Amino acid sequence: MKIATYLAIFVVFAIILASGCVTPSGEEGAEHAEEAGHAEDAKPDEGAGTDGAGAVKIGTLLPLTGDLSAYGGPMEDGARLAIKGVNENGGVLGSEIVIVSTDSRTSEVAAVDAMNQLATIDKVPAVIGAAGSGPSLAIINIAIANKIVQISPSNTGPDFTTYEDDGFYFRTVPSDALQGKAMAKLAKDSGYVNASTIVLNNPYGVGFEGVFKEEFEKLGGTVMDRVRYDPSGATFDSEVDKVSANDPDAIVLVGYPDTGSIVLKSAYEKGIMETSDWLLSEGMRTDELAEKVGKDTEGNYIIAGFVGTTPDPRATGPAHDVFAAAYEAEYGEAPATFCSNTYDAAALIALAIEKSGSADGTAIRDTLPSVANAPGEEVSDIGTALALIREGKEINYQGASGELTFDGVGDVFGEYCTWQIADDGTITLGETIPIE
Amino acid sequence: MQLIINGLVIGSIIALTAIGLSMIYKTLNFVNFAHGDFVAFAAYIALLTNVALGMNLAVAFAVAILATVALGVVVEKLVWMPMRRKNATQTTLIIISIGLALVLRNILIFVWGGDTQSYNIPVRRGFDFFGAVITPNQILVIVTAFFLMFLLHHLLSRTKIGKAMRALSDNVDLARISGIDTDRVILRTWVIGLGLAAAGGVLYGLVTAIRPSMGWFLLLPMFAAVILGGIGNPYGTIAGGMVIGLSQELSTAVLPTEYKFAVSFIVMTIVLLIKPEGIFGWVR
Repeated sequence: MKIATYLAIFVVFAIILASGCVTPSGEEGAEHAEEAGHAEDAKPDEGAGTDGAGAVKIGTLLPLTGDLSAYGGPMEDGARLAIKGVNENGGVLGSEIVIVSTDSRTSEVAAVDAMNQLATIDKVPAVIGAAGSGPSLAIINIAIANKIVQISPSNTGPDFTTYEDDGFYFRTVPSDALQGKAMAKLAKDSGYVNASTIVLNNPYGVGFEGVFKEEFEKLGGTVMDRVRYDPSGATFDSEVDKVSANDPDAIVLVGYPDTGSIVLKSAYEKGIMETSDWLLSEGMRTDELAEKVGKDTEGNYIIAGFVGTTPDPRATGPAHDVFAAAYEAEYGEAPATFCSNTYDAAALIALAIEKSGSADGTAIRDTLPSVANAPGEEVSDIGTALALIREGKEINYQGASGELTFDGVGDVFGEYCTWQIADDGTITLGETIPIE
Repeated sequence: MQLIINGLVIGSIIALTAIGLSMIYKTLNFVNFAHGDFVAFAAYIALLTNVALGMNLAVAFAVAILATVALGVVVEKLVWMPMRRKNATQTTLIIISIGLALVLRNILIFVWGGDTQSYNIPVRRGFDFFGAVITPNQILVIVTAFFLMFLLHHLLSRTKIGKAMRALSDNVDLARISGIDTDRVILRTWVIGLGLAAAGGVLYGLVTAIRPSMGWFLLLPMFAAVILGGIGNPYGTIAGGMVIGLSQELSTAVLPTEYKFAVSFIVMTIVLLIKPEGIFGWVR
């Protein structure tokens, strides 16, 4: 009887633990609900996405903390820079855009809380986020149900291409279906005959793994072992042992720096870095990676020289240099990964609102491809773009992250390149990987 | 062989950290959800001593244990003892411990940020060990864990305070009328339990990396070890920790690795179905 009681308590909390919930959100949610009630009482005629002063609200839902926190802050800065540019050029619909910033904490649960807040309390017409594929999949149905345009600056999971999103989901970064191809090409061109994969067990990792296997085998290679790891795992030793069991020529690691670095460290300790080469996905591309994995006894970074694939941040539209300069002037550092994609996401939302004449999710959804795609005057400066729209002209926005041409399902086309970790731990970008 | 080593390493960590959880669970009759965050706290104190103050890792290990125990004593004096005096229910104590867990973890995030960090020690190659690779850190973990477990055994079976602790976890009322100063013994239970948890935390940070959520994620396997071993039985907890650690790592030989956590809990369920009081538990 006593044991049964303990077990019952245990099971309840096991569920809480397993769901990755870090903070009980009940109280918070109740507070917000109350606020929402007041807001509605006070301003019953308020339009969607605008507050009393008439400013247009746009939500951001980026990982300011958690596994992807290294990206979240700079991405948020990218969005702010674009909105600053819009507001300095007269805003949209005659009023300023205000960013409602929320934190996904790189967690599905926190992302859903934040998205509900954006949808029901702030009533934003568009949300920039989330950064990780997991949180994005967790909020996409809330976006669809509330007719909110969701633009992710960094979701690369192939699932989103085929997701029944009613057109409300866009992304300003190319799908992994393309990066998996690039990775397969890189592995083949490097002379590897067989490869094993170790991927994060989430839509990003599993999606990448599937495309890589398909493409690598198409090019004549063999995929030996496919290992998936749970980021909440205590250690990753057995996963590393398993992926290296058959001595593959190359091991493809698809993950994020926080847990990926532990995998790499474990691989070094086990001597697997001598028997197999490692290829890293773009999720691992941060300057902090080498530091996180650590140094050997001689003080050298143990992953110096490692190679990976990434959407090419240089193969970008004409707007990139201007964007990079403006970003550096504003924040005192060079833009990090996905900054330009976030900048473009914010810019596109603003342009779509101005063009459609309405800060409404459905209107943004319908208009967004037309400001990004041909035909129209090619323009990359936000101010000029807004001016052209006000003159009633068609535009084709050329983004900082690429020329941004959307296909029918909200995906953009992209180019890929290699990256390598230099001896001092910094990242250098390599050659373009040609894929058809 | 390789998987046995991996299992022993994680099993040692689970066992070390879970002993305190088990002892507190039995003695005070509540589940301390903050236990995992004490584990993380210890790892961060070691990080602070090792990286920011530039001390040797052995010093950091000692400092981390002292700091964690000190924090535990402060919390006992400020929170748990007053709550016991007020005859707080088990549920109240559990909720308080969850709150404490959140406070602790967010302090860690506030001070050190949410990123993964690691000690300032070089990454070393492992040695060949009967066809498997064992790293210096893994050896350190296993040796330290077994040494501490031996110390604990000595303490519990040979010293007066150890006997008092066992008496208390056996039956609080009987212990009290036998003239045992329960508050003092409870305090020492915290000291020993959290000291072991802190040791486990520092070692855990050594074999993987240090992140704010490390203790929270470890809580589930710790519970499994406690329940599997029979609540309140330190030897059972050690065995339980090893069973959980070994079963989850060994399962990767035949099953996809993403199922390894599920496997350890299936093993737990099966053991409990056969022997509901836990491996070393006893029926009352």
